[in-house]
Amino acid sequence: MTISEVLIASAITLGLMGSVFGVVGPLQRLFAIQPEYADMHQRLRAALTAIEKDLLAAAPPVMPYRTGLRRHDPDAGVFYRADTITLVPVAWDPTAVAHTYYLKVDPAARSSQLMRYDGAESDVPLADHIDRLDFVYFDAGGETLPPETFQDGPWFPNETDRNRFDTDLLKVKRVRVAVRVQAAIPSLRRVLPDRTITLDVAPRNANHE
Amino acid sequence: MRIMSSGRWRGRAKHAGGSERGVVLILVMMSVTLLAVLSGALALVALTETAVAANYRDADEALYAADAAMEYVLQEIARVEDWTDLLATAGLSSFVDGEPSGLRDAGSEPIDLDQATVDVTAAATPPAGAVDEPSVLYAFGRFADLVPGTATGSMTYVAVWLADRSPAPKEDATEPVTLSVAGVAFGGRGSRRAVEALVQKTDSAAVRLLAWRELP
Repeated sequence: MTISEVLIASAITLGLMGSVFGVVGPLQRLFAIQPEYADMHQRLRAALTAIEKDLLAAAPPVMPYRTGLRRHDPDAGVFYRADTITLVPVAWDPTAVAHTYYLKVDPAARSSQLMRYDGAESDVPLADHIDRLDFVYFDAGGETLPPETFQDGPWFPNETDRNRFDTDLLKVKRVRVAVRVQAAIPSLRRVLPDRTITLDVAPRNANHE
Repeated sequence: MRIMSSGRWRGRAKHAGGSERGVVLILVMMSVTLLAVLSGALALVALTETAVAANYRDADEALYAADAAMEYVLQEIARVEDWTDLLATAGLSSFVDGEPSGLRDAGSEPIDLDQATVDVTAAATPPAGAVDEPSVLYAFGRFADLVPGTATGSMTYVAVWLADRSPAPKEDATEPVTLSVAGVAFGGRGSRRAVEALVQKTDSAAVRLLAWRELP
């Protein structure tokens, strides 16, 4: 074997290895991205399905704050949070319970979760890495109801009742929900941008007049 | 410059070269197999995601189809003077595709209308203080026939049941004043969604929706 044969063989081997690594590199990234992409969509679907189902069946009023046994917002004088909604079902099915949906942000871990509170003792996570949850409220004429209108009364049943609510909430006929999800793996967030889905839901039980 | 030029080495190299025939083929086969497995795994992930998305879309379509069928029936029963007639016989709606029983083909699997009536009666539980009467099949057919032109190609099948939900106790002869209207849609890939409305008769030719819910 001559030195030129060795050099040619080495060059061919290097070329082949380069080609193989050239294919494997992008494939590896593709293998990491594709399941993450599917996972992002699945988390979006899970979040929206839960909220939409409860919104459709919610009885008036739809409340833009948390209510229940623990951390009852009206106790603290809070009657509006942009990322919170409490949905109470109609008194039909005795097994149906109220649900509060809200965003739980953990700045230390730089992550956030969509949470659901059952009005009693349980706060459960529904979806991870949901970094935005917004609710916008509309009246029968399609006009946006500003947050101030939900916090200035008049109150039902009175100003001191623990479960009081602003009667302007009864004007809510449509709710716009915006959910934004991000990739769970931080290194993939550059190639997999956040996905946002916005949908409008008209609560059926708020529109029966 | 030559290296390894002794006769002994050349002999070995020649012998080794002879036994290396077909090595490249094996290497190529291994590389192709590896790439095929990788591509297959990637395709599987993509196909699974596509199937999940399709199931989600079908379920969503079924929900809106069930709601639309229920709304159609609400319009129809609003014009009926005495609701007793609606509950006396099955299939009185103008939207029917045959006898109110038996099997129907909805694409993925057949629908047994008799079994569906049993299922709806079990699921559509009455609210507190209302009579618990069995559901009566009222309207049924392909969703594409309910909304011609807009649901072209849809294999979704819809059916609507009525049940008396008047306040209890109730005399048999009296006219129902409250009805349960349950709409069910059987969509693609075995999807099924059901909704129910509780409606009350008003003085005008309209019904008042008391409550709405999604059935399991």
